[in-house]
Order: sequence, then structure tokens, then C-alpha cells
Amino acid sequence: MIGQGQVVKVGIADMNTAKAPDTIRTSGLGSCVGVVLYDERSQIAGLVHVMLPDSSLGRTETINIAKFADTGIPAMIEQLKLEGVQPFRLRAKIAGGAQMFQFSSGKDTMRIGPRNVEAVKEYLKKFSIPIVAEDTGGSSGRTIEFNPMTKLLNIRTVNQGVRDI
Amino acid sequence: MVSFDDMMDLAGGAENVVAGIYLRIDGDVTGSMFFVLPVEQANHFIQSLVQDSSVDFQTGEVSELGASAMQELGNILSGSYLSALSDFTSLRIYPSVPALSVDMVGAIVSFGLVEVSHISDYVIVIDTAITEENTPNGGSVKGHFFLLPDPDSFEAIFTALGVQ
Repeated sequence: MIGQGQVVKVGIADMNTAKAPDTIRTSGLGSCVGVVLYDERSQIAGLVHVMLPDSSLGRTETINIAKFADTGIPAMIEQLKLEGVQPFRLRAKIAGGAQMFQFSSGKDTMRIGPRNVEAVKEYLKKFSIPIVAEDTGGSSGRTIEFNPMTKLLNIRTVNQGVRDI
Repeated sequence: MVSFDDMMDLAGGAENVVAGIYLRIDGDVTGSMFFVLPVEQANHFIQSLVQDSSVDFQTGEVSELGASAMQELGNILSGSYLSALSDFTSLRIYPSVPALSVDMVGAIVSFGLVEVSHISDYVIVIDTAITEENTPNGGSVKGHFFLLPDPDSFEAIFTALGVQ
């Protein structure tokens, strides 16, 4: 039986954690990347909605750590540690990084989706967190929901239906 | 001045499916501009415009003519919106060629937030709704314009609008 949990919602450039039977969800991922970190055993998962690859791109003193791949991923690992997760047991599933509009110009902001995906992978590798599944790139927006009990990431798109990874 | 999440709510929630036209603006003010239209209404408009009832943006079955008509619709509407703004503020504003995408509004609009998000967690949204009378279900056309000036242009816009 699957328990009826709450859905923890994560906004844009935001992060949070959820414990079974709750699920965790973020809506309308375009060029942003949703990074789910979860622990096989303790049924706890964290989700970061990454908007930009690198905090050095930020031009302010105080930054929102969940917005960037290089700050959001370590911050989520720390938070999960506080909730009793062993970092070496962490696994990742990632989705997003689409290119919503096709332009001929090669300006850097135009390929922000692929750059976000590259950055997320780089930092996951740095912290030795294996990526179990991914659904990245393309040109479709995604809404993702992770169930810490089944470890499945449900991905909904407008044109390509729904699937679990 | 709203947070990113509030902006999604203005457009009917991040998951709301829309036909979105995106264009960059250049000139005295730089930034991004979106015109978003709920997908049912985009269908209704374009079906009557190109006289082809098979046009359906929801399923992605859109003829080249239909997609082009949608882009043109966005181009004309945003063009007139920008000329009005330009007349009002005496700022030179040049729109780029529009790009079309039919998807979740969160996915579409967040693209325009990339530039802003380097600096801030808030955006200045100039939201304009257009409405039309006598539509089939008695409802109105709920199109939205979002004008997202780049942070470097905030001052130019405020000065032109007479806000100190």
C-alpha cells in the first residue's frame, strides 16, 4: 500500500527535503534543472531547483544558494546530513535543462539549459554522487515529482506525456 | 516588483499550458518580453485566422502556417505594446524577431528570468492583460504581456516613468 502523503512543493531557485510517505515536487522546469538527492535506505530525499550553473555569475553580495548548481548541491548535501543521511549513500536523479526557444544567435544565455546540466553533473561528480537516472535537454518543459518510498521520479511534459525514471 | 514564484502565479501557475511568444528588446532599455496566451485561446484565434479547424497547439499538431500566424499575432501585439510604451516614455525600444513555444508557463517564462537572476531574486513585471468581448463562452481573452527589464535598465525605465 502506498500511504497518502503530502506533496512538498519546491519553487523556482528553491530547495527542500521530504520524507516518505510525502513526495516532493517542482513545477515548470524549463532551462532550470531539478536535482533530486536521495538515500536508498532512509526514504528521505532533497530537491534543488537550479537556475544558473555558477554563483560567480551572480553579481550581488548575498546570494540565494539554491539558485546555483555550485552552491545548491553542497547545501542540499549538508541539509540531508543534518537529517541523518550518510553522504556516501546518496544517489541522484536529474531532469530539466531544456532549450525552450530556438534561436540562431549563439549568445550564451541562449544555451543556459545545457550549461546548467553540465554544471550539475560536474558538481555531483565532485561529491561522488552517482546519477542513477536523468531526463535532460530537449525543448519541453517538465514538472517532476519524486517519491522517496519508491525512489521513482515522475516526469510530466505537455507534449510527451508522463513517465517514471 | 515580485518574486519569481509570484510571477508564475500571475500567469496562472507554473504548470499552466500556454502559447508563449518571446522577444528580446534592445535600445535605451534592454530586457525580455513575453506575450502568453492560454492554449485554448491560441487555438481559437489561430483557427479563425488561418481558417483551419485542425490547428491544435495542445497536441502539437500545428501546421507551419498556424505556427507562423501565432508568431505574427505575438509580433503585432507586442510590437504595438512596445510602440505605445516607447511613445509614453520617449525611450527607444527595438524588439527582436519573436520565438514561439507552447509549453508550461513556468518553463517558458523562467527563460526570461535567467538574465535577471544573475542579480536579483525579484523581477519588475509590467503585466498587461488584454480582453475581448463576445468570445464564444462569454469569457474574455486572457492574454498577458510580461515585460522584464534587465537589471541594468531599471534606472532608465524608472526615470522615464517619473519614478524616483
